[in-house]
Amino acid sequence: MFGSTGKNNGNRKRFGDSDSGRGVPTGRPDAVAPGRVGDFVLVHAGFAMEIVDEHLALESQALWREMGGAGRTGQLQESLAAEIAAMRPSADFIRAQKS
Amino acid sequence: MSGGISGAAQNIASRIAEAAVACGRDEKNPLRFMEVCGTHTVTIFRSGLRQLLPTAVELVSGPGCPVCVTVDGYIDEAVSLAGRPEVIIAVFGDLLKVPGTGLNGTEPKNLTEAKAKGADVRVIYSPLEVLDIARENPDRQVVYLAVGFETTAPAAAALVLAAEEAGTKNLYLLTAHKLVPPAMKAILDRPHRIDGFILPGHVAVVTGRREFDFLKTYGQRGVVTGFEPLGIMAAVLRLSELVRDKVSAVENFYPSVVREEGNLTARKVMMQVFQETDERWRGLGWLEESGLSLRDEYAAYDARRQLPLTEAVKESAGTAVNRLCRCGEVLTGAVTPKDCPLFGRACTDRHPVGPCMVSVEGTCAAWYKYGAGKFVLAK
Repeated sequence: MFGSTGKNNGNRKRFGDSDSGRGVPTGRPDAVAPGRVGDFVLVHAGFAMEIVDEHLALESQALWREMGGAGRTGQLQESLAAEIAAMRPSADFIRAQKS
Repeated sequence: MSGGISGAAQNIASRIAEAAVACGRDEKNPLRFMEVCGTHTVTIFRSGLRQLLPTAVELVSGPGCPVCVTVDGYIDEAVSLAGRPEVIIAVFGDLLKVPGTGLNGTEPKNLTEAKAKGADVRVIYSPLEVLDIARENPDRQVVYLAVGFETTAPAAAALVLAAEEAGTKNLYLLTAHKLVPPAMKAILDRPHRIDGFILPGHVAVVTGRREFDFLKTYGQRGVVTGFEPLGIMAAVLRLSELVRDKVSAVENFYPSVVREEGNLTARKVMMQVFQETDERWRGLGWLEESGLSLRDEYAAYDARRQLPLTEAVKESAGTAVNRLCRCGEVLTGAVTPKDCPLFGRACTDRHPVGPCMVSVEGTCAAWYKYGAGKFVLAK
């Protein structure tokens, strides 16, 4: 039962779009962490558990590196930002999901 | 190794060593920090963190593997239900080989054996798949084995609500959900010394950091962290500093997903469907209000109430399969796998005896896979 972060790419629609009427959407993998297309989500056992705060994720990693004396600016920080940018879907992809 | 992540990890290790020395600790009297999450256990072993840490720091695995803390009697219940021709068992794969008692040879010992004898046991990757299975098999009774901590309980609750909304009448939960804080309290009430906790990141996503503030009433400390090796190292450093400075605190090193109050939607869904109940843990026994059972409003989805088990199955709960297996003590940090007479001999990854070797998140499995040959086995 591992968890991982992944991109909410809009596929949740295939699970139905119902609402229990109690403010709790059910029958969907994002039932406990309702997100929007384009959000990073933490996935555990087939469910989106939480929306990932990208800024805080970057800050945490920079802090750990700083604790290790690697510094929080410079090449490491840039490579992390590039890594996240590469994971972000294109504007065209998001438009296609929304349409 | 120098520079980059490896260099940072080594530098953190050096700072941990300095803090441990400042605490007056050494190899004979190390700082003992417990991780309470199976995924942390796997990350620590897979990334070689134990080898990187100074000998004045010892990492101990706690009851963080949901499969491992599940008692034999629960497997007996699942196997018994699996033997009914009208029942389909839906289960996460890591529970398949966990042994039950076998009821003195009258029943299969685990779900894999039951499947080999014709039981309809289906591996799922999300609780929502159970809804599809129930819909596609209206003449069968579909039982979801609801095992796990606060991480999986909200998903199980969402499944129940979805079933109710869809009008599904043939879906049931055999519950064994457990709550982490009561188990930590039980460990703290025991005599063996723990200096701090690496707190479970995914559990804290649901509960929030605040849920672990009880540690301060014990004069204890904890750091919530995620699953990157550097984050775990940073948590160990922080714990070492807190011991050195004689500070009791609970801090959050996983703020990208862990909030103070947790995921309120997840908690609401979970407590709408479930209620706290006394629960039996492998290695810890019965703990008050340490588990979750279905509320009366959702009794129609409760396998125990709708599909009654035989008295023999009910009585088997908690019976030990193999008295030599020390899985229960491993789970509480009382011993390490190398102290078990079966580990590495009768109990290996190919022939696991106890659940700690069966699950990939189990402490024994991690020791065996990543530490084989690097330690002396028990005599």
